[in-house]
Amino acid sequence: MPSSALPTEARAGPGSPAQLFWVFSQLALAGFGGVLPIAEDRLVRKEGWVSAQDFLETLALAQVLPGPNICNMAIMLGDRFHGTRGALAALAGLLLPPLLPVMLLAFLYSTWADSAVVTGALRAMAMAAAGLILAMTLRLSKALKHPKSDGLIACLMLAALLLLRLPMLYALGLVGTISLGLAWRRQSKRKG
Amino acid sequence: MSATLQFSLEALSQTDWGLLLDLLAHFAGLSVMSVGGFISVVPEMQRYLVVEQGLINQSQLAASIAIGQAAPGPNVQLVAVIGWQIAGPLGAAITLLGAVAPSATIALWANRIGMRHNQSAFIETLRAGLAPLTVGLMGSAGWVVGSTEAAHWPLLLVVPLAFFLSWRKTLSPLVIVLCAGGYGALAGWQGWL
Repeated sequence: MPSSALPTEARAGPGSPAQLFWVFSQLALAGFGGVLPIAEDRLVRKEGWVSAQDFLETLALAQVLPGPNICNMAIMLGDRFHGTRGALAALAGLLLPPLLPVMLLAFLYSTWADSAVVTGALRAMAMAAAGLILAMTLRLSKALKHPKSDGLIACLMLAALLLLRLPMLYALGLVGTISLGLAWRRQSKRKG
Repeated sequence: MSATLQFSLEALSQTDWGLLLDLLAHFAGLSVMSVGGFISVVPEMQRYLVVEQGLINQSQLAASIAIGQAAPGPNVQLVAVIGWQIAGPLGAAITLLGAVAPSATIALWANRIGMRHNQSAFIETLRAGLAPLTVGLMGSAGWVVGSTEAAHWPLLLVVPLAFFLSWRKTLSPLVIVLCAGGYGALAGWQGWL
């Protein structure tokens, strides 16, 4: 039986869109520097709305779609439990409550922008963020199915953006055609 | 050095609808392209907002990203900080709406298709073909942000350090970012920058 046939019956999901909003707003507000690990802890272990495997499968799909992974996951899980209203509730919970601390931080920064201490802190934090992005990139690259060809495609993408300074859409179109072509050939080889 | 975020209230008095419409269109375009998260379109955002239109400068962009990362919630909120600096609160609402609504609609639509056709060859191909592009996009985003301070080695040093600590899972991302903030404050106070 396909697992999607009984998405909610085996487990007790959120009772209402309001509960989705509430839980997603809580994990968003706790998510300094990244919401995903906190979401996993809350949704899988504490609330038990989804299994760990289900969480992983949803994340895999969320990652190949445009948009922030965690936003896409909120939409997918919300939709599964309570349809469009559930999707909107989860997304709103994720995005709206944290706006207040975000703007507060930005205002504080704009007031103290002349202070060398504050600019130093923010500039160093930006550099730390860059380091975190690069580490995450390397971690994800290890999950690629075909290290050689996929690694080459990733490097082509890097070269197109950083060396050739192509606009992203051109780079995506150019390298994406190669990548999808390779993936399609592999797929049809396996089938035929 | 001009690492200032600009929050002028003058932007409130005159609403530039043309500018808001441009912003909405630009961020909606970014939203559709933001495979791998909004951070992967930072290079494109930089090209358009900083280089081409001159709406914000490189330091403002870097500071906005830092706030998006440091503050709780999804990092995509950095677009609200950028929008506010360009066109006030309405600008923030417009950029956030533009950045989220298209990708959210796609996710909702894809979720329903995915629930119907679980393991088709087309969806598997798409999944396999997009993964390496995502890695390239994110690597380039990290590089663009990380090279902002190429001229200031006390700050540049933070990039490999944060990378290493995150890679070895020595510290949580929050602790790494907060430690970097403390170090940067000290460096600024001591006048190393």
